[in-house]
Amino acid sequence: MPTAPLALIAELTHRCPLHCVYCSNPLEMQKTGSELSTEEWVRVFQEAGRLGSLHAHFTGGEPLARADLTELTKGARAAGLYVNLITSGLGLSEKRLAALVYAGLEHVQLSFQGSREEMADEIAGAPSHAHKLKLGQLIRQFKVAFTVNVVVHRQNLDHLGEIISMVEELAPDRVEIANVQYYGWALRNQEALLPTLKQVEKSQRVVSAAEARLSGRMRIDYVAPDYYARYPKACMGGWGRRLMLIDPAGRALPCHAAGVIPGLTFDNVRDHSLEWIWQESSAFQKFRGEAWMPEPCRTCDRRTEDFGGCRCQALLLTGNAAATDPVCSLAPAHDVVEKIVARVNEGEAACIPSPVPIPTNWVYRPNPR
Amino acid sequence: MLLFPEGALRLQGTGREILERCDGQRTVQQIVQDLQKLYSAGDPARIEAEVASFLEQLHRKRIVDY
Repeated sequence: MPTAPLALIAELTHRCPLHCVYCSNPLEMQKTGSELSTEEWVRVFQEAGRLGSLHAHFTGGEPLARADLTELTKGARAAGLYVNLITSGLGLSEKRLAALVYAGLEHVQLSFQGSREEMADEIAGAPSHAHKLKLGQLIRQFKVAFTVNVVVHRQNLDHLGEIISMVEELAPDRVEIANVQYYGWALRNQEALLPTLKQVEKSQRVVSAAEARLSGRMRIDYVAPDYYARYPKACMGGWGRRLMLIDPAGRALPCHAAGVIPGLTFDNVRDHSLEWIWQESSAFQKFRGEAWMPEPCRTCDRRTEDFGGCRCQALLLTGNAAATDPVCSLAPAHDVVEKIVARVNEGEAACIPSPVPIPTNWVYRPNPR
Repeated sequence: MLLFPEGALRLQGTGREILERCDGQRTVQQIVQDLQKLYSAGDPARIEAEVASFLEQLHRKRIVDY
């Protein structure tokens, strides 16, 4: 067991001006009044730095919703952490970006919901696309690493080529093309988001061609949907192996979704040191090692590569957090995923998509009080 | 440690010697010559090839520009 997390995910707030239909925030969000203070966060960063963590990922909700973000950046930098801002860009101006970079911000990851304004704004639940495009050009002028993150799914995968062209014009160092993963709000909207097999196969070809063309200029990291994979992802690099997430109210979690797992007590940074939580707490110990693994994982050659997949996904799809991740072709509950995939591939999605977005009853996340 | 978005590289030995010389001033050729002097017992052509290959890998990952 590593003695410290490699990176700290600082989920600074659940407040956000957007309402993306695939949001990974929990369905029950932390209220504004319960958020950690500036001093509390800075203490957490100092502990993380002393423990040996290297990165701090500022996320949310929308981290820019924190008025003290510049102080938080200074605090994380002073603690020896590489600061990464994961943002929608809403709330970012030239002046604010300059202040953040001056305070020690190393990397900005800017999200896009697509290449077409009307659909992007519908997915985000608010006008946002035009502002993001302007921001992309602004970020390039600062001495900061720049990644564009585009979330893809059934509604926009057909024009992935167009999306990549849009990203090229923004000239980031790197683009992450991330297929939706089904937790939180994304799971509520899964029927309209899960791509068809044809879409996934075509997208892989489009990405390969773009990678060859852009080698050395822009790095492409493509995250395929695990519902179509043969084996599961090594979620978070394993439970409590690489990453620790602190939620807006100070709860320490091994990932953003683990709150759905019943029977676990997640300790709070207000009550315990990071070191104790990481090394000793029952929640972080729960799925470490191999003793908890069921068959086929326990004797599977891949158990040290993918750790049996994602605990939260196992819980959400089978009701049992200790089950083999059902996306695995060897999982006893694999038929659960097969049924979902079959429905998407048989239904209206199999028809030729029209140029006009098909009206969908999206479930939008609210803003916490 | 060399840190970059979502990753880190622990630098040791020659990798570290090369990266430490990526200072925005030196050319690749100067770095090669430095290392050839540092590892004077080594084959100069091999050192040049390895420096080029190392930098190319990091360039493709968008960690280093030259």
